[in-house]
Amino acid sequence: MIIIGQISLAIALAMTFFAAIASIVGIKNRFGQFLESGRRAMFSSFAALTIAMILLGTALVEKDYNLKYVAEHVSNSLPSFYAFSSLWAGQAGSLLLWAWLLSLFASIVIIQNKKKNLELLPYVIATLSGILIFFLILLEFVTNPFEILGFTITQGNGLNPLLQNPGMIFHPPSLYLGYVGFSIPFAFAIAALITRKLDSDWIRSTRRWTLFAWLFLTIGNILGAKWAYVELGWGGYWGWDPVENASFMPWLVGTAFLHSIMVQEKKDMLKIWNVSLIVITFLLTILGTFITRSGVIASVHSFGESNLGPLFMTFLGTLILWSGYLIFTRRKDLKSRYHLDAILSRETSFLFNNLILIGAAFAILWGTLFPIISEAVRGIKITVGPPFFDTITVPIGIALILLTGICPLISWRKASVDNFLRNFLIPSFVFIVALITFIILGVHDIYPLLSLSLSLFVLSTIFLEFYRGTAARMKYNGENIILGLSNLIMKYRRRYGGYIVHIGMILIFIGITGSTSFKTEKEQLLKKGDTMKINNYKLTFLGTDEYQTSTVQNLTASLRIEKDGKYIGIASPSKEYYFLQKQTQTEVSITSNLEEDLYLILGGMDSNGAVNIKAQINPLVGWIWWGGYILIGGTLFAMWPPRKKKKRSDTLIPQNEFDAKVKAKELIGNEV
Amino acid sequence: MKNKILIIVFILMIAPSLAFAGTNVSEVENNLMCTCGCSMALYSCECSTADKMRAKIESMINQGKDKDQIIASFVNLYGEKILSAPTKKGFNLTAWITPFLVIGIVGLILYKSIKRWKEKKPLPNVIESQELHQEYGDKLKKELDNFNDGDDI
Repeated sequence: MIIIGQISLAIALAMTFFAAIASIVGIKNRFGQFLESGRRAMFSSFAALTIAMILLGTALVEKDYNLKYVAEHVSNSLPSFYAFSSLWAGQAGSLLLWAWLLSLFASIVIIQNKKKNLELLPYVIATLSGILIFFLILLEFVTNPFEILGFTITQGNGLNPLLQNPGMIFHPPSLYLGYVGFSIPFAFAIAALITRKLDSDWIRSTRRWTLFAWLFLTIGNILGAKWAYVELGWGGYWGWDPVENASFMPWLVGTAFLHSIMVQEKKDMLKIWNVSLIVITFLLTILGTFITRSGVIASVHSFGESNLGPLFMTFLGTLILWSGYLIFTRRKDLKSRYHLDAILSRETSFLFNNLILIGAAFAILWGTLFPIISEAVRGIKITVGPPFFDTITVPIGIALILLTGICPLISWRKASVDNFLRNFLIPSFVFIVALITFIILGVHDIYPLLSLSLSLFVLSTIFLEFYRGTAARMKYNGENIILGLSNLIMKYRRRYGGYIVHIGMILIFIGITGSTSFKTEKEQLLKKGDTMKINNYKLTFLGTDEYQTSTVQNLTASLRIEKDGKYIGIASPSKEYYFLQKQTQTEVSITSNLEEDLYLILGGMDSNGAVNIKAQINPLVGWIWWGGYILIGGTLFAMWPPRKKKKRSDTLIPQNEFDAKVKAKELIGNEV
Repeated sequence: MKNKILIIVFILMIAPSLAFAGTNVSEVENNLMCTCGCSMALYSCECSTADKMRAKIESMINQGKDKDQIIASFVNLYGEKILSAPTKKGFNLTAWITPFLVIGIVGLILYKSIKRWKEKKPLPNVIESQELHQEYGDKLKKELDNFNDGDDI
């Protein structure tokens, strides 16, 4: 099994090399057979990597300790599904997953583009092959998942108990799907630069790939936050760890890209900007991987010190030089023929939205790298942790909420005063009323006050968009409200999917504001029968329960929860000690509703049987998760392919009618 | 006079508790990192090292030390690295200022560029005012709604 695994990796590397060379030689010399060989070589690489994945997965589930990777990451008592998830718990396994996903995506792209993008495709394959070769070289020569242990053991090191959580099964693969997914638009951008085919075709061809990558990066980040909240036992969900930052930065730049490509698609503008954005997004995914794997920046997520750092730096440097060279030499081709018509227009609002998103990514990158900069300048290593990022990102986040409300309501090309007033009068009124109401309710800190009031402003702008669109359909088409609304969103899936995503984002912002600004915390030592009160909750300590298995010792406290004098249930926070890993872990108790979470942490027990209980009331945390679900739903809705039209002569729109239609849509702006 | 003495006695009585209320463990631990090597902020770490650090903070609070004194004693012991955020002085100030400075400068450049682009020759057939075309717009919209084009343009 080990030999087959090693051979599979070698075949994958050879095939990927061949795919790159055959694609380039084929397109340069117009050899169709070479191009076909290149495509088939990529399929072969995918097949070989699939075999490697199956073999490593099987070895983990069967606990084959002959493999060093298996010995390091599983133990006899580890359930099979966690044993399988160890595939991405370590350095070599996660790199194999990355390579496999990349070969899978490359194969799908080849199938998708069998009859289109024929000039771009060989360069796309060559670019993807180049990336894949780098990962395969790492797997083959630096951190081979099929490395033999060399001696016999009967028990492995086991999986870190923190990673033994269902969220952990899906969180890393989701992030990898996002990271690797961004390789596809990046490869198309590079192919467009090489061929100088710099119209919007490459963007249209990869829009769903970009959304797919963005969606999974979003899911990965939300799952990570949920895991941290449930598993780490400190009542928070985002710790601004360098690796968390590493997954957040490409998300931010990817979000900017998703917005600015609309300007290129509609106006044929911002070409150089869009190419640069997708290149930066992809480079940030590689930088994130470098941070996780090099050990150069201390992180709770890192795979520890390794010799991968210089290789990743070299790869990153090569990508920067190559992309930079292509963009610089094609700068004339990237120039737009069109100019902005007005300062107050959708185009400029998107540019400022991009500024804020890129600014946020820059601020986070700056903070993440500042310890290295400080060490280089002052010779003193410092830490840049949550207080820094909270201070820096909160005002940027508030600016982003404001732009989320403003951007979609400003017309393309030029917004008139009438348009501006019509779209913003009611939301502005909502904002002022919300502001006054929150002040009366006792919210006096400027950031939560602005965040919550602006969130309602944005929600009202979105509501108005749905309302106006539905009302127009009811008026012109005679549809009832349900039909009008469903036809509206089904017909303009992309736009209204985007609004649904915005609703999800705003709910997340509300959840973050509530849980960080209005949190209550109390810690108390409780003897049996003692009670503690926090806000309108009363907790009565009923006693403890202890048990021990071969792997873990567990201490669970039972607390009766009452809210406003009404019985809610029994909470059971616990503490566990894992013998094999010599590690203590906290299992929190969360009693959740949309209003707030009662979050209970068992600190420990003294010799008299009294327990230390830390209780938190975390308001509106549930809104973050629900916002996440809505955001995911909205993205899926926006990327869902439209129904294919039947070919009928009466549906063919003549060019002049099409032009009129385009112009009319610009004219009527947001009314549709 | 009697009332004044009573007020002074009352203030002296509540002073220590006010001092205690002024500094608590959470307030201090927000500013420190755990020293176990986990790279987590102290408030978010649940390891035994973190527990010992919290106990130490609590004992310093009981000794009457305030937040700044406690943080300073940790910095003396472990160096600047134990702080969860850079100080706002000297070179470290650049950490705090740079992001906003960059956003501000780029924003200004962007605004100037947009103004310059706008001043360039306008495109032919530019629609200058929406109001002028409202009537045609409504007509066209009605017609367009009959086109089943599936998606936003």
